[in-house]
Amino acid sequence: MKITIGSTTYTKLNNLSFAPDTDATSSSVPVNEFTVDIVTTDTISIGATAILKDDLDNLWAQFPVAYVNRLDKNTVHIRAQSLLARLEKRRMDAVMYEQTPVTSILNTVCGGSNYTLDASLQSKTVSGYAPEQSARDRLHWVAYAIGACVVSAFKEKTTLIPTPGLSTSARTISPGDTYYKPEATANQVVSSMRVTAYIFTQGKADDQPDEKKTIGDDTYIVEKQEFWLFNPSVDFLDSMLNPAYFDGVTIITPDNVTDLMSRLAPYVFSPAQIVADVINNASWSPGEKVTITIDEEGNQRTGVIESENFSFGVQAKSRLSLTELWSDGSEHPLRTLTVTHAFPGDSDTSAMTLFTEYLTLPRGFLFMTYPIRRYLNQPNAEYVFRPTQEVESWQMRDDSNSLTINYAKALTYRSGTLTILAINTPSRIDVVVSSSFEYRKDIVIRVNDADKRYQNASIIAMKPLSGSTVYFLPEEYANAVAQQRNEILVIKPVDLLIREGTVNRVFYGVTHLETSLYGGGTCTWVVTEDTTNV
Amino acid sequence: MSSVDYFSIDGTGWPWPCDITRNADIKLSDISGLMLDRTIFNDIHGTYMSYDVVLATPIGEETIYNAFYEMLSDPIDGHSFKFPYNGGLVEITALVSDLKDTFVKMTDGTHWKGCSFTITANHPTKYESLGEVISRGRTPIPAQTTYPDADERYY
Repeated sequence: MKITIGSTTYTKLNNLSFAPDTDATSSSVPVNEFTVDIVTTDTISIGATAILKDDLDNLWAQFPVAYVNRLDKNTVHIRAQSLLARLEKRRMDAVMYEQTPVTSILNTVCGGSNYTLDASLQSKTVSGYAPEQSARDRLHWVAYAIGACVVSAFKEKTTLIPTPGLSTSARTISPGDTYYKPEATANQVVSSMRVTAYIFTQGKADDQPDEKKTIGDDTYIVEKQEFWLFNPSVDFLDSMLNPAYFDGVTIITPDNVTDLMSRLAPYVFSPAQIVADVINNASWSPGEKVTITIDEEGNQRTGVIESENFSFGVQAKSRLSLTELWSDGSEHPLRTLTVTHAFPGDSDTSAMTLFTEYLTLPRGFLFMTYPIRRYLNQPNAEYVFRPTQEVESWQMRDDSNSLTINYAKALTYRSGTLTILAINTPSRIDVVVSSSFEYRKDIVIRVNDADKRYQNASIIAMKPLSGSTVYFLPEEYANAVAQQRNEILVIKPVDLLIREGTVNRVFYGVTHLETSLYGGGTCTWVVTEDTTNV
Repeated sequence: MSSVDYFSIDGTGWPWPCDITRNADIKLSDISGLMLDRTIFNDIHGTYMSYDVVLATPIGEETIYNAFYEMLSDPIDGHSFKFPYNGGLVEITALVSDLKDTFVKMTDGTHWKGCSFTITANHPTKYESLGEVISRGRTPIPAQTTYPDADERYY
C-alpha cells in the first residue's frame, strides 16, 4: 500500500487501518476514514488530500487529512476522513423544498465538485420541510428520500449510488476467496413497518393546527399520513408483534413514500446479518450486493455489504458485514391500498369520510382488518360510529386497490341530547335480563340473534345523575364477550374518576337503565355521582 | 572482500575457516489461513535468508578477531553482509543474534574460541509483487486427492 500527499508518495507505512462502511438505505451516513503511521520527516498539513492506493494503483480512498500527530522524529500519524466529517460541521438553514431538483440541493449541501451522483438519480426531486440541521444530516435526509446509498471508499469523491434492491444483480464471492467460515446471525423478525409521510400547506401565522412549521414569515400546516407495510412472511394476525417505525423525516411525502417502503422492505425484513472474512484486493466495496457461500455444503446467501474492516499482508483481507436481503423467492411489487373509513349517511346525518389511510402492500397480499369504534367530534355534535362488519379484507392486485369500511352510528350527542343507537351492536331481539340496575350491578343481556358476535360489547358513554354532560368512556371500557345465541353477555361497569375543572366526578356504575337497549331507541344512562371539591 | 574471504561484514572480509549453515525462511503474513473450499491460502511476504556461522579464530590474529567482534556486537538493526549463495554471493542487510564465544586460558596465553552467531536478513531475497501474485493466481490443486498405496504410506 502507498499514500500520496501532494507530490510525495509514501511507501513506508505502519499500522494502516481502514474500515469503510455505509448504510445502504441511508438511514444514516457514516464518516469513513483511514489512519496510518508514515515513516517520514516531512511535515504533513491538515486539509491536504491523502490518496491511499495499493501497489497496482487501485484507488482505495481519497480523503482530506483531518488530524496529524508526530510520533517521533521519523514517524507521523495521520487520520484522513471523508467529506461527511466536514459536512458535520456545517449548518444548513431550514427550508421548504417544492419539487426541488436533487442536484440543486446536493450542490448546496456538498459543494458542486465534491460529490458524484449516479445518472439514474439525477432526475429526482425533493419536496417537504427540512429543519435547520448539519449538512451531513441534510445529505442523509436527501439520500434517504431519493433512494441513494452514500459511499466514499474506493471512490475519488463521495458518491451516491442507488440503494441495492431485490432486482439489483449480485456478484458472487467464491468459496476459495472466503475464509473458513462465515457466520449468519438470524435477525428478530420485523412483522410490519410504518412510515410517516408529511404534507405541508401554506397557513397563517395565527393558525392553530396540531402541528406547524415556520420559516421566516411563512407558516406551514403539517398533515401526517401513516403508511403500513406488513411482512408477507408473517401471519397477518401477528403483524403488530414487532413493528418498526420510520418517522420524522419531513421530506417523505405521499409521492415518494411508496418507493421508500419498497426500498426499505428488503432491509427491514432482513432475515440475517452475515459476517465473512474474504480476500479483498479492492474487489468488494461497501454498498455492493453480493452472493456468498456460507458453509461447506455450498449454501449461499445474498446481501449488501454495509461495512468492511481490512487487514493487510501482501494481499488484503477484509471482514465483511452484510445485511441479507429479504425475499421469499419471488418479486413482490408493492402497491398502495387506500382504505376509506366512511359513514354512508342516514336520514339524520349526511354521509362523511371519517378518515383515510394508505397501506403499501405486496401484490397478492391478503389484507385483513378488524375495525373498531371511531369517535368523531364535530362543532355541533359528537358521534361514536361502529363498524358494520366484524372483519374486512382485500387481496392486493396490480391495478387500483381501494377498500371502503362502512360504519353505522352507535351514539349521537347533539344539543344536550344523548341518543344511544346501540351499545356496541345488540340486536332488537336480544333480551335484557337485568330486571333492575342496582348500584354497581352488571348489565346482563341474553343474546338472541344467532348471527351476533359481540367481540367488544361495552359501555361507550355515561351521563351523571344531574347535568347534561356526557362522558365518552375510554376504548374497551367494561368489556364483555358473547359468541353465540343464548349466551349471556355481561357488561361490568367499572368505577371511573373524571376530573372536570376543580371538581372530581366519581362514577360508581350504572344504577338503572330507563329504556330499552334496542337499537334506534333513546335511552339515558344514569349513574351515581360523587362531587368533591378539590 | 577478497577472493579468499568466506563472508564479509560491512565490507570487511573473514579469510579464516568457518562453518556456515544457510537457512531460507518463507514468511507468511497474518492474513494466511484456511478457506471455505478447504484450501490453505498462503499470503507470502517473501524468502528471508539467515545464516548460522561458527568461526575458527586463528591464534595470533586477535586484533582482527576483536575488530570483527566489535562490529558484530554493535547494537544496530542491520549490517551489510555478503554470504555464500549457490555458486556466488548474496548481499543482505541482516540483524546479528546469538553472538557468543568462549574464553580459554592455555599454556601459551589466553584466547577467544568457538565464536558463533546468526544473521537474519531484514528483507526478502526473493518476493513477488502484488501484481505478480494476482496474475499468477493460486496454485491449482488436483481435482481428486490421491493417496499413496497402503504399503507405501508409512515409508
